[in-house]
Amino acid sequence: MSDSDRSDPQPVSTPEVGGTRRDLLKGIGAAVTVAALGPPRVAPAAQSTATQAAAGKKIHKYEQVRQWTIVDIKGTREFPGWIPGAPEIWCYTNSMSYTEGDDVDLRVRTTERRFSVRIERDGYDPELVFERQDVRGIPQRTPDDAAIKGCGWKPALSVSTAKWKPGFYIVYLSARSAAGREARGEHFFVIHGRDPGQFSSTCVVLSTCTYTAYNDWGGANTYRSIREGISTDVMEPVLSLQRPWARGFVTVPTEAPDVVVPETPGPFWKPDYPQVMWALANNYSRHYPDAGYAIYDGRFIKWAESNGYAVEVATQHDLHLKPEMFGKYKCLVIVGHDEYYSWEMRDTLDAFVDRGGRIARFGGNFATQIRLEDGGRTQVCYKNAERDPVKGRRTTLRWDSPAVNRPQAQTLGLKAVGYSRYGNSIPRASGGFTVYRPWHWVFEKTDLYYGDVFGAAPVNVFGFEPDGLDFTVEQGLPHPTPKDSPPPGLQILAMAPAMRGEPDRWNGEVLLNSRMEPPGASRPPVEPGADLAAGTLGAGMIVYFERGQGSVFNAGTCSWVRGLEADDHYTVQITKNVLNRFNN
Amino acid sequence: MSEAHEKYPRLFQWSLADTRGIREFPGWIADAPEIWGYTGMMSYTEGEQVDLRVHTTGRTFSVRVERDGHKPQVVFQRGDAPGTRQPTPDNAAIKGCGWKPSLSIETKGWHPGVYVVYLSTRDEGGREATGEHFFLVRSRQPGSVSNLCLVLCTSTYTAYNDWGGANHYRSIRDGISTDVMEPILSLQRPWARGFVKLPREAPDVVIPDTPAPFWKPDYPQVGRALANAYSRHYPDAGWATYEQRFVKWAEKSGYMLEFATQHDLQQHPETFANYRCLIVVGHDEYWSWEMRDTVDTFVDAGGHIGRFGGNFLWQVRLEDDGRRQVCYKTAKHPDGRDPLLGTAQQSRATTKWNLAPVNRPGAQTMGLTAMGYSRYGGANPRSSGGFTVYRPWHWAFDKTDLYYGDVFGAAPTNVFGFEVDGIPYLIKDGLPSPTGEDGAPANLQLLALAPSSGGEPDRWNGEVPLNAPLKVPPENPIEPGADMGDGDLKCGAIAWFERGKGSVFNAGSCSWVRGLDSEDFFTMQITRNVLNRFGQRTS
Repeated sequence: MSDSDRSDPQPVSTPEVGGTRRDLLKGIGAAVTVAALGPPRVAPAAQSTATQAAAGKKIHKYEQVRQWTIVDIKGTREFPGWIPGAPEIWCYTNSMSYTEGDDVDLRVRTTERRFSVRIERDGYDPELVFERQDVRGIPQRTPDDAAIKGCGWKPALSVSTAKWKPGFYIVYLSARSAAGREARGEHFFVIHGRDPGQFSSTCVVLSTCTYTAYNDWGGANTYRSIREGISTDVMEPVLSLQRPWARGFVTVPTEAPDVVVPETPGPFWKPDYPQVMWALANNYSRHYPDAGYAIYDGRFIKWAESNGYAVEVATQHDLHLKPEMFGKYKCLVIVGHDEYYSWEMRDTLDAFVDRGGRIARFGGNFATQIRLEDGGRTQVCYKNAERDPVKGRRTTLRWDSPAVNRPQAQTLGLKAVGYSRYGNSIPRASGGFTVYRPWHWVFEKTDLYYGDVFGAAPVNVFGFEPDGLDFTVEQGLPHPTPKDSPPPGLQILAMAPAMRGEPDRWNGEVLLNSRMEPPGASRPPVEPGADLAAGTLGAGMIVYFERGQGSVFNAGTCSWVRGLEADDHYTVQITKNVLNRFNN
Repeated sequence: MSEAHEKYPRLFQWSLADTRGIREFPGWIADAPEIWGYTGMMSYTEGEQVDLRVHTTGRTFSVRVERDGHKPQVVFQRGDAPGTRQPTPDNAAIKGCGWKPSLSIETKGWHPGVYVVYLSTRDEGGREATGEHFFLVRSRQPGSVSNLCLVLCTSTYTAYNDWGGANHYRSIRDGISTDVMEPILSLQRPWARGFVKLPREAPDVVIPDTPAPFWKPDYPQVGRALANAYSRHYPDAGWATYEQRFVKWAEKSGYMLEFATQHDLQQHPETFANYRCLIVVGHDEYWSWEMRDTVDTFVDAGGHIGRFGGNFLWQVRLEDDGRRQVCYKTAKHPDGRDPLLGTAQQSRATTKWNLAPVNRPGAQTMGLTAMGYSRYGGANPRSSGGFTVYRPWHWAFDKTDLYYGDVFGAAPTNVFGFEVDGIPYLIKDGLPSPTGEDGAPANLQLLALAPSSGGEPDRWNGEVPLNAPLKVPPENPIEPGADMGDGDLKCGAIAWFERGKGSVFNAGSCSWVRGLDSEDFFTMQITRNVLNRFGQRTS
């Protein structure tokens, strides 16, 4: 989410919501209670209760249309004791990535005496590498502010990774209560080879800063937090990585809805959010479709492996903490939602490209600077210049804010520009990209023509939070303007409209979940009579540029993986063209 | 058609599939019964006599005349008119058939409308031949029934009408149908089969389903026409493919219309003063100078144009009181060039409106001009099929619920397709605006856009008909490495502008009617918004 650094988030004031809130709490509480932890399933009754509750609410102030926490209650704060009487198990590791041979310390907390652990190298053909039953649970104490300070759990088990292949490893945890009820949990870590680049010259860089920013385990993330025991839309500027991933970030059932508006809406449709309702009804994090391995990188890796592309895996944190390990890769791949980077992460990417590396990005929403602290165990992002104690270029604001002044586009060619097929932002977008330079090599063997659309609904390769540039179209071809500081020679290959800032059409009665920026004092109408503000209209893009000795391909959309999974010929062929060329 | 035609002849040899056998002409299908008819004029004032000229192989024939529309109404019927084989000159397409009147029909008390004449005869073996023709009845007091007047694109009908073997695209040379266009066409002949009436299953010209990868252009409409003895040009122009579908929708939706032809714009300009809104639908590629004068004057005086059509491109001249249409297009025609070229009257030379001798940009009248193709041949076959909305706050989108960036009318509806009209445009701050280089009014607003293509490279070494102009390789690539030429990358648009005391709404796509007859909510609401606003009487 391209959240605001222009205005401070306003806490919800409970009285303004009035009695309706209590009714709503009741409805959601019921939903949460009936949907037990366990094998994920959709609970139709619970879901409809939640839907009705959401539909029945009334918010009186226009500004509160974005107050998503209206349907978010204490019961959905994933935290020990969140579901009374239910068995629990969670875990995290001290680090996100390890070198082959390292010991991985699993810090497990469970309500039960015994638990079992299974570790698989994830991918197209998951590979079991470790299994142990009857591990003794140890008592753990969890501070109330664990999301900020970390859980501080003790290691329950140490696992040796000797001879493990480079890749992405999922820890599956299970515990049973005396009554036989099962609790499950998942965690992940990454294994690097001792000689990075030896297993594969392609490395997928997981968007772990964005995972962290959306991870609401413990009740807080960069979008909301617990205030006086209630989940609010006040963002939390300091987040610990010493905690589990919220449910849905590591694995998610295939029926879990994506975030893009899936079907093209009929006239007079009202925005709805099946993914949020699904999450609430099934005790998943409402943020599961926003970020995480399950929804983005994992789908890409499975597709890549099934198509014969072996990949190594690293984290954005590795870009920051171990820049030297990237020297031997030919191609870095970024997938999904990489809204947040640190200064140092960008330095590593820039140096990689300058030295001849290639970056293939199939993702969206390059927006905001974060800082890592405490050896990468803490992520800081204030989105507010006054509150951030660090002043200057490392202030955690949007990259193009005057204080930071390191335009997004300089690294990957694009910047976050808004939404498409999300909330009421362009709900009837084609869902695909329109091709403008079919003669470019990325379109080889696609058979695409000028003006063709690929990946349209119901595939929807274009959606959620796309990236673009200020641009003009002249003689039928788009060109970047200098405004967003694009790299020299950047070519726009395909586009689709994107925007941020639709006016509310329902007097505050419908959740919008995208930035509302109708014309007002700060931004005038884009033209006289328009109900949209200047600076909110644009396009998401596919671009290519060369820089130093390297080059960057950037398909600026979060939902590119949908085209791969749907086996859309065009999305698949473009992805192959890029991967093949970048590994030559 | 372009000069590449000469360079890459095989790509254009549409006539290869066109044999002598499909020249619609007496005797074209050996031993089959025949019946055709035409009238001395295209439009009549209520009360006038319509002279019906019929050629048939039958001894007698029957005639039925219906007012066409949502609920067709039979107004005349006769079962046993004596039939005649009329002598027909070989060059009837150029000189006219010269048939004698067979029947006179009285139109007294007839409602304004488009009237279809259904002809039928049987041979001794009981085989039936049928034929159709149309004429208009106009009120003695234009505007008294409706202030909305649909202007039929009769110049474009004529340009594509290949009855007798010739139209502005091909002709009979040495007895063989060729792609050499015929610059002079008579209106004294029947309409080719499919121009007046079509079975519902006849394919439209737009590529209906989004093609799979490595598709080759194909033309189901042409194949079907050839297989069923219809004119291959039926989906290009004509009442049946375009205006009739609009009228059926309009009448069903409660809009009463009056009717005129483009020829009436030239020949009876005074009859338009009492309308509030002229409607143009479908394919209006050809206009005369005088027709445009009438439209311009109408708008300046406070009238409104609701255009739901595409391909505003060529100037024609009418001669012989409108019974003959002239259009040379280029100076390189084998029969010679337009005799007005190089004379004091060369502004009336029959070529594109924006070319130097004429220099009356099409955009001055309609705001948009013919630009390119979409979902046709090799031209963006996988376009969305719809328009992308850029100014959802415009009144044309009232009650549609459309948002910035929304696409409406996408495949399989395909409201955007075949030949589309656009404008040189810039996009800045997410909004398109005209550059003005084509003479478009400075106050024109672009409401919606979609890409179109003016020329595609051949991907099949000349083995697949493309049916859109080609430049292979491009004479001036649009940028280094491009396989498309400078000027090949186009758009189609929905535009609105005010002019004088009036205004023009222009949805520049031939296939807008597809959105109406598939009852696409957005297409219908926009059409209603335009008709409601423009049809209002303002005192």
